[in-house]
Amino acid sequence: MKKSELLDTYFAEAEELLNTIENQLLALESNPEASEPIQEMFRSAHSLKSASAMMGFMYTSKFSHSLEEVFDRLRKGELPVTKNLISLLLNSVDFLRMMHTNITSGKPECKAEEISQMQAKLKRFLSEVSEEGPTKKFFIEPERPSDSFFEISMEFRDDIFNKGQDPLMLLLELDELGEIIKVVSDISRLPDFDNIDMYKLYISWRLVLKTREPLSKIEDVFIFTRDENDIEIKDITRQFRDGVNLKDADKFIGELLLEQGIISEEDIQSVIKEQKKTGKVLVEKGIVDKSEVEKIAEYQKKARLVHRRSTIRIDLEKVDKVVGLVEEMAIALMQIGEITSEMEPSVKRRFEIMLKGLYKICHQLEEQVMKMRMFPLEGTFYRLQRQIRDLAYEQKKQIRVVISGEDTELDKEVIEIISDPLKHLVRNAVDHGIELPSERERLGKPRGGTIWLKGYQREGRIYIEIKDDGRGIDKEAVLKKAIEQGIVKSDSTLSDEEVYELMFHPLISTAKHVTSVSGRGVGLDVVKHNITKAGGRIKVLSEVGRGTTFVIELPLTLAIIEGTIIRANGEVFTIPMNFIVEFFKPLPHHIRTIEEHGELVNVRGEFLPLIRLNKVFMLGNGSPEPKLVAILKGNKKFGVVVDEVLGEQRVLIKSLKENLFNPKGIAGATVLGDGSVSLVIDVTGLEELAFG
Amino acid sequence: MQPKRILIVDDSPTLRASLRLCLEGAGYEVIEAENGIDGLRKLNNLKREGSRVSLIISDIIMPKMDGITFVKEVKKTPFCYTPIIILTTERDETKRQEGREAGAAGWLVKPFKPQQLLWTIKKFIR
Repeated sequence: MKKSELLDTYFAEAEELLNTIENQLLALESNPEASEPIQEMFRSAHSLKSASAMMGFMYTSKFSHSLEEVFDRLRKGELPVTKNLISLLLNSVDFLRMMHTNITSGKPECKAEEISQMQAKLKRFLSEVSEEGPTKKFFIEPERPSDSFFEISMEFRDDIFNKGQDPLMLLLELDELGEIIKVVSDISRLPDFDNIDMYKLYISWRLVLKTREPLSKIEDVFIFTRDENDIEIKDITRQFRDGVNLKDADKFIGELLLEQGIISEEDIQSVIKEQKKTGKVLVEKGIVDKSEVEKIAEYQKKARLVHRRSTIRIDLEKVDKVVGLVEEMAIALMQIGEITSEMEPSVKRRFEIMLKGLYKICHQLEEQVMKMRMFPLEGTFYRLQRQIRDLAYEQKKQIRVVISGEDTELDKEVIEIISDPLKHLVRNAVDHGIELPSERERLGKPRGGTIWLKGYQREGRIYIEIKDDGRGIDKEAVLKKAIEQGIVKSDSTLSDEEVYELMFHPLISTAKHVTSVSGRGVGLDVVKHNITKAGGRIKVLSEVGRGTTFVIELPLTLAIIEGTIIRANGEVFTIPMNFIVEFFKPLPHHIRTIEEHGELVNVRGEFLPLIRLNKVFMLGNGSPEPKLVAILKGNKKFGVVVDEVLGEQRVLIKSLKENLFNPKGIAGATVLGDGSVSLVIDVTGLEELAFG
Repeated sequence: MQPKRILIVDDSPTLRASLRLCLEGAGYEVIEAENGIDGLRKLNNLKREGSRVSLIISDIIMPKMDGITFVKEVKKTPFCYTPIIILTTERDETKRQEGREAGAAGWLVKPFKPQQLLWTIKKFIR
């Protein structure tokens, strides 16, 4: 069967159906009382409607549908058979034939006005509802940018097989939509083997599906089964993170085992009966007195009560919503502030005083809400301490860990980003910093080394220090390596700071033999990259033989930044202020194009690569002569051509992910004081985008 | 492996031809019947041969025996566990309901695209 044959089949069928309608119309005309011709015509029109629709001839299908309606009304006796109507219906048959002739000769079925004319003639014979014709609902949900999790529970009727439906097919289909990460089969209804009816279903399922498909796609799987069976689909994305359902955190192990179908309710009950409480066992063994246990139990009860009264647990997402609202309020206030210039002086003064009060409250509110997102460094520090202990034990080193400022709080997100870099630095300190006890003794140092972990807050920034009293960094070795690698010229004189800075260079930090000479480890470039990404900086201080200190400076939060608002190529961008070194007004001769390096800007003798945002983000053409260059420092220094600086503002970064996706080089968007939207530049991302 | 066999019951040669075109393209074997009576006859032949059919696709409005009656009749035969998909038109809400009560496994709205047909079939056989 080929497509051309299909078309032939259709034309043959259509011709036959039209002939039938025509003949039956004539039969009806001679015998208006007969019902048989009407039945036959109704069926023929119905068939023509379906067949033409299958072939994609929508006018033919639409018009046959109208005819079907007329025949249906005739069939039900809602219309009288008149000469007039029969003539019109005969004309309609001719009209359908004409459409088919058009199709066979390669023309469109008919003109739009032709069909509306014919439809208009039929209209008065049609019932009102039929007017609209078949309507199709189109509802396209966008694919979700990230994974969602759905909990689906399926309990089918036991006679589902009688319908020809098979749950296995549905499970297979769900599996195609994503990944089924958990399935629990409930076999509690399964009877004894002797009593099993193999044509019945006794099993029900509960599963978690990880997918990017919208809910409607999942509902579609159950389109034929949902009405008659117990199917429940729940979106649990919000409470499902890192492979666990957050709701499970508070459950007892018995509950979880029960839900997984591993044990039964009876199993739990029988075990609970046997269980003894710790206190009771201690008393029985004669370790403590019964009255002591009772006293402590009483205390525990009170502690729990007080704790319950004084703390609540809130989903991070809810806090973030409040943060967003507060920030929007701050923006709204700023907008209100802008209209004061149009006010009467006397009103203006009073208004401004009140507005100032409001600003203050808003700012405090913002601070308090941000605090809700903050976590102390405590947990991170204790994990590092444990890591140091284990590493020291492995390497037969004696290391004491001194922790201070562990109650310093910072944003949960920031903590997550820096957790790996911190581990890395601590490992380096143990591996390469602290010497073996024998070596330390020879050097006149105490046998045991010390690593200090220190956290503190200063001027709205968080500082974390990792300090050791080990070998320190051999500057000469680092410099030598840098010269060998061609990173610095052999005759250049570098400050201590500049030499230490070299350690974060990929070619140096990954060079193994420098490690053994200088006593510093691999991967510092990665550490620096992560910290820079979090909007932070890292600095290193060292003294040979005395030890090394890494100082990490971090923002309190990632959500709010101090931004400088600039215009480039007519677009308004916000650049996080901590990345801006300076603004530089170049003269034409400061800008040069060098074949391999592209455009460079000479900033007082330092040649920096120059980026034009219009080229990077493909925004169209820019002015050939840059008047102003923002010098930024991410992983390296570079210049960005800007038209003008518009101002500075604290901005809340809103992720674009929900609406679009976060393009590289863009950290998100923010709403400015005037209500307009500005894209926030992700400086390290921009660097990667521009320089690869 | 033996290709899965599908019985299509429809009075329209165009519909049968389109279904055949699409199903054979997807690797199924197709048997055609023109109406309910013919459909039951084809099933009876299969039974005599000891052959099976994996799925039945049936139109509703047909001469001699309509789709609803056909579904009910099939349920009285050894083919009662064979899934039946009924073909309906957009507004045949009541017919669809009747079909389901008679024991149809699913339905497909005409006109349909080949991928819709295959998507629906996949819910019952693989």
